[in-house]
Amino acid sequence: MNSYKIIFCFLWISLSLSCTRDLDIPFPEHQPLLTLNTFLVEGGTPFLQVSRSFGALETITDSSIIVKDAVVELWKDGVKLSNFQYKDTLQSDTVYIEEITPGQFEYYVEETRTGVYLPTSDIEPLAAFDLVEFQASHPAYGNASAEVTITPEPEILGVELVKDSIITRDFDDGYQDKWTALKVQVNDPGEIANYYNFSAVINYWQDFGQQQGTDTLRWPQIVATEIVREADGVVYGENGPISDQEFDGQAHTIVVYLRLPGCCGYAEDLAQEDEFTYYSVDVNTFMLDASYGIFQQKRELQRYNRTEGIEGALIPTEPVSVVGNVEGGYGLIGSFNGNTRRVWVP
Amino acid sequence: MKHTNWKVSVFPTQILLLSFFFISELQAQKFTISGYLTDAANGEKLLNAAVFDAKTEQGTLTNLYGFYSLTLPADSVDLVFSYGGFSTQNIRFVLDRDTTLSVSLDYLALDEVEIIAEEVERKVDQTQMSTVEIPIEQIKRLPALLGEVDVIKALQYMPGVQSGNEGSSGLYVRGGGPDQNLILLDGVPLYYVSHLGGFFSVFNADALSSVQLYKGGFPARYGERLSSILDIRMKEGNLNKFEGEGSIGLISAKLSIQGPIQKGKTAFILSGRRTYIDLLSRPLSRAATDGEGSVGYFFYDLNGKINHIISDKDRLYFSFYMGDDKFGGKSTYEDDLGGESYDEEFNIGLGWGNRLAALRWNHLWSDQLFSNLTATFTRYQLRTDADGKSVTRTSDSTFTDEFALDYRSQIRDFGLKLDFDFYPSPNHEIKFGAFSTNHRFEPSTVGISSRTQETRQDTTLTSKIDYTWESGVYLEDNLKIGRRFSANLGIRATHYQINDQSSWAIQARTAARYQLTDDVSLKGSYSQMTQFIHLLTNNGVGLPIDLWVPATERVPSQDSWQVAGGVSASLWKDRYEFSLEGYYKEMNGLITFKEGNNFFFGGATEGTWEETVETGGTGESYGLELLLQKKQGKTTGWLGYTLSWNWRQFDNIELGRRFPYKYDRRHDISLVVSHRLNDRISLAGTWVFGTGNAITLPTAGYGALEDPLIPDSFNFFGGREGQSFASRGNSFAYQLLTDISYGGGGVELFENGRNGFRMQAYHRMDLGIEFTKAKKWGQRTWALGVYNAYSRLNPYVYYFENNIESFDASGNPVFKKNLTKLALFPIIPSISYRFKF
Repeated sequence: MNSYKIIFCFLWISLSLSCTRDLDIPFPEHQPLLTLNTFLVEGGTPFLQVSRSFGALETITDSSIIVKDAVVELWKDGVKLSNFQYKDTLQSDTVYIEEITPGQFEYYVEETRTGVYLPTSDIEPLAAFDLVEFQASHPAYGNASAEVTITPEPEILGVELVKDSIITRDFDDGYQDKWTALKVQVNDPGEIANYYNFSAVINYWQDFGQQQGTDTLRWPQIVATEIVREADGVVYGENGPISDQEFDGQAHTIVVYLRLPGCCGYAEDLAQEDEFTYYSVDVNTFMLDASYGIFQQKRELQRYNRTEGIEGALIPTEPVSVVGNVEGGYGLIGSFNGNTRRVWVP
Repeated sequence: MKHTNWKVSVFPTQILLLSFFFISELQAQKFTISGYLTDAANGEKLLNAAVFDAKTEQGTLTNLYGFYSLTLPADSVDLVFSYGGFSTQNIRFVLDRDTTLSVSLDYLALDEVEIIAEEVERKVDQTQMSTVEIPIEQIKRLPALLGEVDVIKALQYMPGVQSGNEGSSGLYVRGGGPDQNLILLDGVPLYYVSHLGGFFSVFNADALSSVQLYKGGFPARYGERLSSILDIRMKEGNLNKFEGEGSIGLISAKLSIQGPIQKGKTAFILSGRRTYIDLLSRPLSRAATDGEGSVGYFFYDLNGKINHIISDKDRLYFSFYMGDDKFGGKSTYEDDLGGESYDEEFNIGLGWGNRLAALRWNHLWSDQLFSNLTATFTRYQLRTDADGKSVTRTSDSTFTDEFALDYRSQIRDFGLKLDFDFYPSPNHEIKFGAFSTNHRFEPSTVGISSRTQETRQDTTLTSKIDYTWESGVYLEDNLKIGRRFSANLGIRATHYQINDQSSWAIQARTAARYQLTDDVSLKGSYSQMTQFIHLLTNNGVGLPIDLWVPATERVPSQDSWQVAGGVSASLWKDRYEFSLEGYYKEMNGLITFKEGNNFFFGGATEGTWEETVETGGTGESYGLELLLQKKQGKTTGWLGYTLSWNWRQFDNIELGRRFPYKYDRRHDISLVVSHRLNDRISLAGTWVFGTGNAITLPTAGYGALEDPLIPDSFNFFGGREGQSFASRGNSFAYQLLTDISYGGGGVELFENGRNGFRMQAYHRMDLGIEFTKAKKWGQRTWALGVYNAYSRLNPYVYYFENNIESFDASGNPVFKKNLTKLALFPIIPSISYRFKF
């Protein structure tokens, strides 16, 4: 019987060694192209971030792919508005102090510098619906160009709290999670393909001392509220930015669900209703003009951020083919705008 | 408001042809011979056994219940009853009345017969094309991973049938997805047929009697899936004596017993299998973690069947299957920091399994009319749970924190089916019937709870539960015109209902054969299929977290049509069979997750799975399949080759461009050889080669600016009423995000498109040897095997990895990014002990 035991042990050891890795699979070479990125804002000074694309196996740093010697121009209606030139900018500056021996310190500084291309001459501020085009060229990375229409400020026809819309989710021990619904009626501009995002600041009074305070919705880095596509109350569970694909150029009501503070890990110090009273909600509406591929990617990233650390985030989503709007290169020339509307709590 | 949609695409001549051929037989005086063919040793029915009248050269095959009916002119007859591996019986008599004749054939020991394959009817004689049958005994002889005999993996050696990844027991037939296979166990669908993440299938070969796969040219009696029908039948139980068989292998043990409850009248079979990985892994993992954690996994299957002969005309069967996979892990942690102690416990569980039951009643209405009424139940459930508890104790207080997560996904069917086999003449075998199935879909239910002394939260998120009905009728005629031409014409109509929506699908089925010579025939087929069920599956996820969902108004049904043609030949006195088939298949109404969605994101777990999918996809698949098979002699086996192309297209994926399906495989070769050295020793070997799987891999990337909707400064917009962004000035951060790892902010570039990157080719050789010896109590076999004999590191998954390439002058590591492959199985030996008594 001992021989059988030996055989079984041998086989189990073989099995336990079965996961094996092999490195250096042949991989296709990538030809780098110019990458142009910017978000232009109505009334703002245009800028352009110019870098190059890189192969998936290339070890890069941020600065190693930034292109500083490209020729960049901004055009509008067939007229060159200005040449652009690279300008270095300090992004971060960290000083490290290390005690090498008692009383002897070593200092070193880690500096992150990046930069963008800015106009070399004064130009008129960009106006809503201006159609402008960036043209860039580089001897090694070729020519690239992209145009964008300056996003107008979102036209909000109305914001209203939906009457009797507070949803209460009951938990054991009497705790409740409260949500309410806002109807945000937007008049979508037809000239651009854009998407919307919302955040809200809930203003409240605390009873003690009548001191005014504010609270924000969920976590600061997550703007997404729960959004439904239609005003009929059917929740599709869509989170994150919402595309105007289905209502391009039309007036449309988007229902936004807001989670009210006071429960379950979220602003719990406000749990006792008699301690505070909501008095208004500032609804921030953001609008970004970008291709649908970019929209998909942004939404995926938002989901990832929202669920970071949750088991489900480990399961990859379907790959997103990000479609930029730069001809001859990569990147996104987008435009952005937003505004705030206040709605008073009855 | 009720909506009814019609999906009708049928050859206009189909119904006319059926009617014409049905009434065209003008009968002279004829009588019918009918009965059952059984195995003399155990009373087991012989399926697809041949009954042939040598005088008129007319013949038929037994049906799935061993019944045959042959109507011949009144005259003397010379009947030959035959079945592979069994003695042939000749019976001569004068046919002057309707006659019932049940025949039992004797099984021949191996030294008496060189025919290994059970199939007697040559491919060249069959009307049907695109079918695969592998005898269970032959499947048992093939070398297998860890010695676990696997029906599904044996089928993967056949042309037109692909496995998914390494070791997978998934089926991908002629470009179809895994949801497009109807897998029937005793006529009841099974929804998930894998154990251990797909390395083994749920089918215990000891409990099975036959396996038949249809890749195309589907008979009208089958439907509800687009790409294949796998019809697996369980043994019925020995009516004459008790017997058993079993095995002990590296990871599992099996035992099957069968015998009469009432001799010659009622029999049973009970077959079980259980793995014992957990018995080893739990103590080992506990020891490895100093008692702080343990993991365990096991699966089991239990098959059973009772077969009762009520009378010559009535038989009753009850069969069931239950099987589960159970994974569990536990970890504990204790810490004592002076006056404060901390205890933590975490448990995780994952389980999935099927339950299946079927009650069948065979009834013989006349010598020519046989019926089978089946009531079925099937359920597949996936469940995963996790819970944890931590307790912090100080001298004056105790703080407890608990959480629990529970996830469940389920599909359940109740069905009723009535099938008739009608044999009006040797030139017509007519099958018709009706069916109805009620499906209950519960794609997902998630329960989350957490509690401390101060707070408590319980949330249940349930996706919408859908009930659907699938009902219909079918008619098919297997007809012969002259000696050389035969055809199977059929039509199937299915009515589908979900809520107040309903639709019809009418599907035409045609298969025809023309025999050029006695040994060569040409074949062709055309079939339409409709499927009212979808599977939501993420590419690359190896866990059984696929969701079965119904066709709805928003996500309509899928349908396909397939045309195939080929030549079949019997060579060298039937020692070899050769077939070459070409096929073209189109699929419509396919679904896939939207870009950026998966099982957890986008609503699949929030009751809104319809929002997560792209609909209206199309698929196109075409190719050539070659099979050269040796079915007789001491050496048997086959060589299969498939050349195929397989595409998908969705309007919102890849800008609407078509892209290769994940399992698009240009070349696929299988070589299977078994050789019997003598009565005691037999050898077997297999070799497979396949073009590498198509995967989506970023080959480049570029930097992006931070999304202006994400940075903190814009979340806290904090503007005043009516204030616009422009009026607040321009203050973007210029930081370029370049990390293209998931969530890194950079943008991945898929230069070759979806599934545009090829993994390395797959090839592998398995070898096996068996030593069999007769014992006083029965027979024992030692089976030794080697999986992946030359230890080819076949890719399972690719991923990017940073490795230290060198060190700079300061001693800091310099990293190099590599694409790394993970290979699961190098050479793996196996041993198992089988016994029969």
